[in-house]
Amino acid sequence: MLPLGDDVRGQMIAHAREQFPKECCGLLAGVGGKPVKVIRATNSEDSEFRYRVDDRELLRFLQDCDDNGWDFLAVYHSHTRSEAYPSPTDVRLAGNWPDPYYVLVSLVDQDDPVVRAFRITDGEISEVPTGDEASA
Amino acid sequence: MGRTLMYAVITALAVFVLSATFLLKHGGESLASVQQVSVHDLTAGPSRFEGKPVTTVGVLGFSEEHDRYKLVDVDEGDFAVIIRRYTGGDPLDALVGRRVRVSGVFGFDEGSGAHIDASYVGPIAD
Repeated sequence: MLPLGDDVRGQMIAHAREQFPKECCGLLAGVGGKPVKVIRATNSEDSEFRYRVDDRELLRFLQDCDDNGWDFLAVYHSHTRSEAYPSPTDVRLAGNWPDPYYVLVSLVDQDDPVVRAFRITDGEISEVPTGDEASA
Repeated sequence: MGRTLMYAVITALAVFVLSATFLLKHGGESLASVQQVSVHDLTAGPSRFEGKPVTTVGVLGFSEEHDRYKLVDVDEGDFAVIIRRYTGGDPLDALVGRRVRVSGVFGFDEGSGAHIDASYVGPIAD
């Protein structure tokens, strides 16, 4: 379970809308499995179809986690033209980072964004409840 | 029949070569260029990470043999990488024995063995 809550969900959706039509990406820091901080990251791919977290921002995020006793809880990014489900590229990108959750924000219906969370381990995708499956 | 079989074999080989090329090019893709990897994995398969930016966590020590700081695997103390070229501000003596994160470019050679040209060495909050 990855309890996102309205605030975290809202911050990710706002980021996705601001970056539209390009994909946004960011990171969630957590304590005890719950998000405590949403960190927007630069999508170094600057693309409508792909994302890659900026290296320096990722390292700074990890250092902030070390300093504050946070866990690297999740990576989020948006899909602007497809559903909130990991693409084959997303699965490949997750290969070297199996520990965090992967959160997808879909803006296919911009009035009703969909947020879903997944584990991606050894190429296998499994959806994780976020505690608020019915709302956007 | 023989010619058909030959074409099939050639096609299969071509697919194999193209797939292998693609995997070599894209197989190392990651959500960022930098990879998070354990000290154990760095020392066990150094060629996979040579020349790549990495970030790793371990216990800071000092190698008398190399006269340099080293990062020891948290769980398996037999594995260590040497920390080279760290130009950060604070001396690292105060961090010896503590869990730290080291980020930089990984390398492997006969002189230093597995090493990281470190751009960052910092403690991890207990």
